Amino acid sequence: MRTLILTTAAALALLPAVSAAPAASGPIATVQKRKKAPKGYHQDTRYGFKFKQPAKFKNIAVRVREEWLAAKYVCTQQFTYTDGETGGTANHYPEFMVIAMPHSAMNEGTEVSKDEDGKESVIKISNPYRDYDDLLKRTFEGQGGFFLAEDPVETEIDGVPVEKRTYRSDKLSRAPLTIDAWIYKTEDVDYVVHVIGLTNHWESVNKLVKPLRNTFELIEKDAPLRITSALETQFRLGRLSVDVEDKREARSAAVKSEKVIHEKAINKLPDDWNHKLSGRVLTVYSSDKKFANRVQKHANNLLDWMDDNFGFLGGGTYLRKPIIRICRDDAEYFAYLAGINVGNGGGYLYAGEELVTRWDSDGWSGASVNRLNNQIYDYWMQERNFDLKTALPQWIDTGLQRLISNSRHDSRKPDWRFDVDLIVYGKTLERSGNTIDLKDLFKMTEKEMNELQQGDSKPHFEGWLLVNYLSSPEIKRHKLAEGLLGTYLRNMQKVVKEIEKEQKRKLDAARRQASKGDGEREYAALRRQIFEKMEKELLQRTFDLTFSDFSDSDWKDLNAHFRKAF
Amino acid sequence: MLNALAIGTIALASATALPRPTAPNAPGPAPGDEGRSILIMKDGRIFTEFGLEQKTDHVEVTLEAGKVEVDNALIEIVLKEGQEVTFTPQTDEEREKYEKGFVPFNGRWIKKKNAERAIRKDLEDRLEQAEEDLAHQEWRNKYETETKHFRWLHTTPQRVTRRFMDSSDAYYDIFKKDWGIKRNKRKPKLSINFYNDASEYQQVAGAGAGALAYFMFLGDYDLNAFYDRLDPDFTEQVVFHELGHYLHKLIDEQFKYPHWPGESLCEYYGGARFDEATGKLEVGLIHNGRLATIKSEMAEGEKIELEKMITTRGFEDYTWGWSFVHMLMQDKSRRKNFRKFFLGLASDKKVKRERGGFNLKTVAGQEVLRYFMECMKIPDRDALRELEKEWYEYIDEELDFDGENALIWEAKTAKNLGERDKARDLYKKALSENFEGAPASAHYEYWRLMEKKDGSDGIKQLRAAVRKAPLTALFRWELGELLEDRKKDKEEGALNKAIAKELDPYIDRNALRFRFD
Repeated sequence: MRTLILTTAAALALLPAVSAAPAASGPIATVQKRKKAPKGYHQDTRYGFKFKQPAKFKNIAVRVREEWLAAKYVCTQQFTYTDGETGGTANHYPEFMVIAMPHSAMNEGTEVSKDEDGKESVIKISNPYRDYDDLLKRTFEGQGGFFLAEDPVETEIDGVPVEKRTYRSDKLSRAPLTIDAWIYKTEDVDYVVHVIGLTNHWESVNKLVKPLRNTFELIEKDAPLRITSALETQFRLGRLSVDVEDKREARSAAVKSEKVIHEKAINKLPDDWNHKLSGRVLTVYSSDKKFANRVQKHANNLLDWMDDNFGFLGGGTYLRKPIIRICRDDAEYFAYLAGINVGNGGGYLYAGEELVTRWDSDGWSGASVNRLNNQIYDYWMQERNFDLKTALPQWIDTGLQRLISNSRHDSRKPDWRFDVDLIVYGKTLERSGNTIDLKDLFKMTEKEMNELQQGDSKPHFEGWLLVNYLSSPEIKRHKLAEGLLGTYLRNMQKVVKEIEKEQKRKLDAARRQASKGDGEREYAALRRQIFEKMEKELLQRTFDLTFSDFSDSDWKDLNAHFRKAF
Repeated sequence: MLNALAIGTIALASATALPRPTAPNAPGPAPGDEGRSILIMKDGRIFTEFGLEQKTDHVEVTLEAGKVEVDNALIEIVLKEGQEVTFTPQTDEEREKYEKGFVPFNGRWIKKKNAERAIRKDLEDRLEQAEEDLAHQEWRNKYETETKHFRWLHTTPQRVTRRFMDSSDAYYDIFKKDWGIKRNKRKPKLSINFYNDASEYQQVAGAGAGALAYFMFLGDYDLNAFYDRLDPDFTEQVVFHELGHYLHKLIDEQFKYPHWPGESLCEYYGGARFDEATGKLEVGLIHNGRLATIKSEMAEGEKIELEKMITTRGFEDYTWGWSFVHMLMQDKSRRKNFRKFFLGLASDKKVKRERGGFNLKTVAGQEVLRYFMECMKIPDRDALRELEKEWYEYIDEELDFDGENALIWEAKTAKNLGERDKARDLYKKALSENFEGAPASAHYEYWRLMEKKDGSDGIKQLRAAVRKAPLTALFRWELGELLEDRKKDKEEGALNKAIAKELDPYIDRNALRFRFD
């Protein structure tokens, strides 16, 4: 029995049909009307609760795909922990969340369906959490260990049974934390209001959240809560699962999904967040407007630059306008990422439903813009040519990512900041005589590179440096280098298309052969051989197409120019 | 509440030299009198919810879903409320004594009344302990047990933890004797946080799924590990390994040992075996798992260069490094020099030390090599290569797998290294050679590696896993999943799934997670 896990199906076919693409610029008009909350209160009639907003707490946007996470706040006051033994310090901003856990969804386990022949099954994990404990266990992962510190207390608030649970986190966490969860148990939904703060400042944190604790109440919902999953899957802005051969259909699906996801993101914005559609980018931001405008302009220019320089890779597909979320600071950024979905615990958000950045204290040259650039690159490549991105030799893919990471696009002309660390390292390799001939580098498989990397040569570094070189103005001084990266990628694109069909044929044949012999095991071995062979083939054919007229002296010449360029 | 039970008798008494009161006569509860019962497994688990009936060689456990046979060999004790003790004499001699009012008890024949009193006392103690263990199953209520050298914080039952406590103290004593370490008495004893299972360990200790244990070398230090009830020997190895890091710390608390020889020496002691009966720890044994890795790499023509191993940091320090340290420690004259080298890395003024992570002193690879050669009186690279040659021969000729389940260690190691095909072959060989002697987990692991899981061999393996660990929900669930697809076994499949659900209400989700973790 072969098993597939379907966790993030694009399910675009389920999206509502819409007739037009969103407006080219300015705020999007189709925002749902919300019921006005009493002044100073947070009120949510979809989930059915309200509470008085505690002073010193800011409302944090909730990710588009979050379905159980109903509200999230982070404190503007920072608290500090100092380790008495090591002297190390950690800063923390207390936060609280309201999580709605519908019983119907919690009770649902897994759904298994089988093909007609009964051989293949699809397991849909629609709800990963069976209760609050389970949720905490799987979402606190990576932030330290935790345990229930006291016996849970059963009580009643305004006639609603409430269970109070206090957890402590003190192992492998940056600082000892306390998690105080009050679970309001209704007939159909468990509402969890949990507060997280430093244990050594717990009294102060408790005082700050007193208004929340005193005023939280359940109110009438607009309609019964119908949530089947903690993670809404249909709004994922990733690769479109449509047949790229049918360009009209692909464009229509892309436009539809873009509209739906944009609206969803805007509807979920807290009151003090803004949004703006300008050019090819929708920004949603709580940072200052000037910074948001700068990011938007930069992103637009970077997307244009990608089109100008690599547009030939896209095959005319419609590039959905990405959402760039700009948080006002680190605290908000990390609080935003730490939702209740599995796997997003405060880390780097890979091009998912949106691209996320923040204003950081290093300003425009800071790492947050570098990371945004990485996300834009990944997003552009995945949307334009997913197959090529996955087939690219790693040194080219990560080399381009590194290159773009350092660029700034305040005007159409990018301001390149070359990777100085890489250049210094390249010089060291050169001095030690451990450089690799470029002719060999272009033909090297990933396995060969990894093997070499264990020794004194560093092929990945050299590859990244080569991408820097081939994208620099220096190549205008050398006829063989000029336009070489573009030519190479074009050729690789052609070869990928040829090889895809060939690879499929070989895999089918391998499966047939394996079914007569040792089954899965034989197939796995054959598949591995096929992939290794096809990688070699891809590199060799691309090499032949690109460098057919290169003589030995050309290679010598190119090597010499590359080494001198920096 | 357990100590408030009206205690009648036990079905399994303590080990005796004389025939024990035999089980067949121990009657089940009278109809309508389903008293409370408790089943204590050797692996430490305690069940209080099920009906229990002692049969000749097993206990019949009645769940709502159905009956489960649990072999006596797996059971520490089974206790039932309101049950009379009886004894069936098998021989004339026994009959004669029994008729005079005697029963066998703890190696002696004593008056039945006295035996019952002693048994009742034993029962009361055990019930009290069981209740105590149950009350300490949450980390917030954990046990705190101080031993000679350590402070154990644990949610594991006292009885199963005792082995690890004793063996750790024995390890400390041996290491102290070998290396002359001394604990700063102003500092507290090392806390060993010992969790009841992997899940609790990962949650409370915050460890990733890949880390079996860890030693926190900052602050007051602590060690975190979990009890793998299906593989306690492996648990012991893991604890020994991590304890090694703590003991190295006691040589110099401001020093962090380089990967080699640090990890290799941890592995050397990690392969020790503790004899619960004598309380003795035997070190310098064969570490089957590590040896398996080396032998398999050797078979593929791979040999780790000695110089490279000493100067660089790599996984080979756990495997090849272990064998090299093994060779040095087993040779009296070399052992002395190696000891000088190991201690000198931290304290010899001639060693060039540098600051590493967390501002701890350490020694770089080339300096480790230089000092090693100096201490071991190796004049030059040629002599080093000679030693390397001797080491390869030592592995080839002197190190051989030890114990009837060595192959299973090999298989387990291959699987951990990602060599699934090889692991499958090794499990297959191990199980064909010693099917009955293999632990339940070996059948399950082999089944997981099979291509055709629903074939007759797959079902045979899962059935064996269930038979050997009949109260393990995961094995039953997987067996049930397979059988319910087969017409003739549908009923058995459904029964296994129902039992699994009763043992673990979330087994459907847990099994799924386990499969993809």
